[in-house]
Amino acid sequence: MRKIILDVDTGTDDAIAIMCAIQSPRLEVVGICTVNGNRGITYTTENTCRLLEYLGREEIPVYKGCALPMVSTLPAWRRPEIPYGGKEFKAQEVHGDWLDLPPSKNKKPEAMDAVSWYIKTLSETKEKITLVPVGPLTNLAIALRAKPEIVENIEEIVIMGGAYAHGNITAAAEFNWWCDPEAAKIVMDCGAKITIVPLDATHKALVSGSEADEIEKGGTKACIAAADFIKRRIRGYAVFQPVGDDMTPVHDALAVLYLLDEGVCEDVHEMYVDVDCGHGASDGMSIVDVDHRYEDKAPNCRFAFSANREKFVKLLTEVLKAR
Amino acid sequence: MEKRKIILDVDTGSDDAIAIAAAVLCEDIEVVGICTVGGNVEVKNTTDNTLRVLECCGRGDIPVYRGAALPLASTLQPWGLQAAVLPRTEGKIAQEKAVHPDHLPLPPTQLTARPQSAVVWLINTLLESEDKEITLVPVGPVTNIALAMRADERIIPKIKEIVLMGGSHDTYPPTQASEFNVWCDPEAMEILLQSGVKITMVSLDATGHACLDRNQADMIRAIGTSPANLTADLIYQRLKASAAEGDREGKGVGAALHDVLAVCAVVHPQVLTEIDHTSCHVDLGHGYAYGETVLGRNYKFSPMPKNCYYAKKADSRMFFDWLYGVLKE
Repeated sequence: MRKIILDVDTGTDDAIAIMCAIQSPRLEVVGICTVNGNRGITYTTENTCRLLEYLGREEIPVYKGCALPMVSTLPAWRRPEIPYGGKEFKAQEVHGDWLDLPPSKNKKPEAMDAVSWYIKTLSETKEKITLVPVGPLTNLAIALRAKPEIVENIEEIVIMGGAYAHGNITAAAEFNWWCDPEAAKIVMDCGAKITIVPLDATHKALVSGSEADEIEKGGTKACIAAADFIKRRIRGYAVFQPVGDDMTPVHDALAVLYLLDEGVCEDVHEMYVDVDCGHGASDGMSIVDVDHRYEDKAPNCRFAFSANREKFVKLLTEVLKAR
Repeated sequence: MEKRKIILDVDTGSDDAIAIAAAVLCEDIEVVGICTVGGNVEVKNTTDNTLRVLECCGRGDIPVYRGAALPLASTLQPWGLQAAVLPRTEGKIAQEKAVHPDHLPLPPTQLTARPQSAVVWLINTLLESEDKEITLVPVGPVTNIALAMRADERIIPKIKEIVLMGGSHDTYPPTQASEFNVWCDPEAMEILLQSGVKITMVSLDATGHACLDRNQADMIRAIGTSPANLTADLIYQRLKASAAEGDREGKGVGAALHDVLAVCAVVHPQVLTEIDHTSCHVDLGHGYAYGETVLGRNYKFSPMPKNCYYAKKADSRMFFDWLYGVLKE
């Protein structure tokens, strides 16, 4: 069993990613860190807790993470939208403030914060751990700044974030990296083995409404919730970011399924990837050095330029009904 | 008088060394622990130097926690000035003329830092403390405290106040615009300034009044204890370094003991003789003023909430008398 830590800003696709991870008999979820991102930290933490309670998996510990990005909100004009949530509820939006599940009654986050727990766990572990951050990289970047030695116990970091030819929050940037560009830069430069699952891949791994119906027929609680979230996403994408009739990406789930079958991602190349932290129009943009212009930089990640839609949907359907 | 509980955060550092000695010897202060950070020298050395000072003062019982080696974000741009200077690496600066030598003129010590990282220890200690029990006294870049505030917001209401050495307004600082501690990690200082915690900023403008000359150093040496000797040696070292730098901070008369004034101000706030309660923010713009502390002066046109007690002047006599008294106790 591969030991993993999830780092999430739940979020509908985060929820599906969490379900994939905890349904799979091949992954052991050591803990789940939450972070500000799709919504503020209160929302992402409670959404994660209510999902675990719904699935009857309260034994998996949840650690509440950073409420704000490292530095991107410090000038009031740079990220005035953050933190998201509680302001204007858009019924058609792909996430919504709260996941459409009953509020958690018993499941609460642990007393320790996510950064302290990362440092403790990665300092004490005897076995290397794989990290799967699918939200802004704030928690991990702060832990790395506080104690850089923790990188030695990281097996691999599989990140949902960044984009080569896409932007989903601005024309230039993917949301997670746009939210906390400095954190993304710190993680990219940390020296660990890194795989990036960017928008270029997730926008190839679209799921349709009829496939959501198939998933629902799997009958487990995970299947039913995942199908519901996918349908919500399809409605949201149709309004805000059309990607094709009756279709939606499920970004974060692709990063988790990559751990189970690397074949869900395609066109994966060793690459040097930088992050623009320049406060301008391309703030938070991933700079993917396809032409080797960073002459003195060795590749710092494996970057997935595409994905195999059929494999992804098949594996998603299987994993969700596994138990 | 009940002792003031403080946590020091240091980049030791010659004036940091005197600040540590004064804090651990002062009867009115209880030093709960000391966090180290990269700044004047690299964090490996600031940690070792801190331990040497504690041994010199006979206070090896005070726990030391190694902190951040790098600022939050200021070194991320490879062309930035900070990336050219930080992290400091041992052996880069000519030791003869250095304001802050890599190793303090003290024997190596067997004391070691605690295994916990400074950020995790700060969070634990503040969460377990009573509300408004502990005062933070950072006299280097404020990286550790900023990381802790971002990691766990629950610590913010626990902090009694922050009395820090940093910032400048009227004094000619190292980069023309910015005082060194703020310049190292501008974003970290801005996190503190936006936290809502009461902050007293002991700026270069104030520490220019905390200069000691050779006569005063000799008076301190005459006390005859190890910490007094260390203090005298470091004042001489700083005078020599100021001379090497064209006497930029010495004003021809003495060596400014920046960090020591912040410690003094914790127990004797009246040593700060001119304080503006003002808005203060840090320029984060990557230009010439990156890291400058910008004080709000024109409230008529741009009213900003007052978030800082900015100290501009200090009582030189009171400062020396306090330091002399503490070292003589």
